[in-house]
Amino acid sequence: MSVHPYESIETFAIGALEGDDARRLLQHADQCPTCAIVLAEAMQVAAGLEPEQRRPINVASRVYSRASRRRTLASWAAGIAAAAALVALTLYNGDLRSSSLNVPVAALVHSHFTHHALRGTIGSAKVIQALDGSWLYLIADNLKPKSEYSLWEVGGARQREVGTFSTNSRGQASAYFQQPAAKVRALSVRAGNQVGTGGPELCWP
Amino acid sequence: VTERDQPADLVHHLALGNPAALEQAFDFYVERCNAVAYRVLGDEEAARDAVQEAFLALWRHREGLVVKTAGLLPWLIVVTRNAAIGIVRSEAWRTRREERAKRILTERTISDPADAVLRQREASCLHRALHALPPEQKTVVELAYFHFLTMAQIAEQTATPVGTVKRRVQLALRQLGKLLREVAP
Repeated sequence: MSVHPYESIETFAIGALEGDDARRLLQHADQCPTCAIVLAEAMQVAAGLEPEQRRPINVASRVYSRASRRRTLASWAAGIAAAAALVALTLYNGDLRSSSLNVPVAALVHSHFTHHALRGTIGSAKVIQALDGSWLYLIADNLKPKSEYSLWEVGGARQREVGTFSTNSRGQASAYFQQPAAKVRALSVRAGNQVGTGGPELCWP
Repeated sequence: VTERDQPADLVHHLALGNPAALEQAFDFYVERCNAVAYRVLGDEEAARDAVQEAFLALWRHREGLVVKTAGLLPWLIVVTRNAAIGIVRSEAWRTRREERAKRILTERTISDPADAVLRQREASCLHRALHALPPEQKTVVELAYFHFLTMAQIAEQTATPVGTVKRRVQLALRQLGKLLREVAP
């Protein structure tokens, strides 16, 4: 869109601009301050036409619970993630979905990730990580309740702590870590945050 | 991102690419967006699809000027509505809606979501302002906003050139904007 699409801005705001034209307009306005201001104003007016009612009409008794909102977020993965990873993730999360744990939003918005199942004598955990290792999302279950744990990785020749996390009263935890991009060759979860305090509770591979 | 982050902070965190901000925006606005989509579609499952599309679009446009300028909620409402209207216009939706209508006809009277929308609109002062617009402007806004017609369809239905229809929409929204600023300066 090389010229300012002024005549389409209000049309977009009230929903009368179709598919590709609508997408082009949004993309143009993201980069064009003049159109962004006009579009933002039109959006505020159009949004003002919507009634304040928060609950769906005729389904007031079926408002999303926090848990169902999480499930909806989780379902986004279907549209974003690679199919193989999704299947594994969905199967793994079968039990966790009934809990109040955070879903791996990072996995939903980054299309390139992989995941590892960490196994051990107690509990279980899954780590979803960016292919370049720049972020990791951990979900754990059946660990010791209300306890401190740490996540460790082996990147190069040495082991390093990624970060710490705490379990809730049901022994569950979720945590998101960001770090400089690095190749991850192994992961482990340890009680406390000292590598020298015994073997890992959970590890991959 | 913290539990107490306000929408302005969320816009900032979103622009930085923080996924937790998207999750929090979802928590803040999903019910409102769901209601917006449901008013268009009258179907919970389809409404969720529209809401999902809107939040994915939010992530794609998180660094854009429009999100920052319009604010999260107006942006989400408009994009959710557009996504829902896109579903309404799809062939698959027409087929599905026809099948649903046949099924409901055997059970009870059809409840048209557009009727529900028309009832709801009476509640807002902006809707009252809509009635104060010149008739030709009011007509195009109603056909577009409440009956989900495209500009081409409105042009055909009102026997008016598309350019004229767009101009009327433009004038109408600007007039409504003025009224909005007077109510809430």
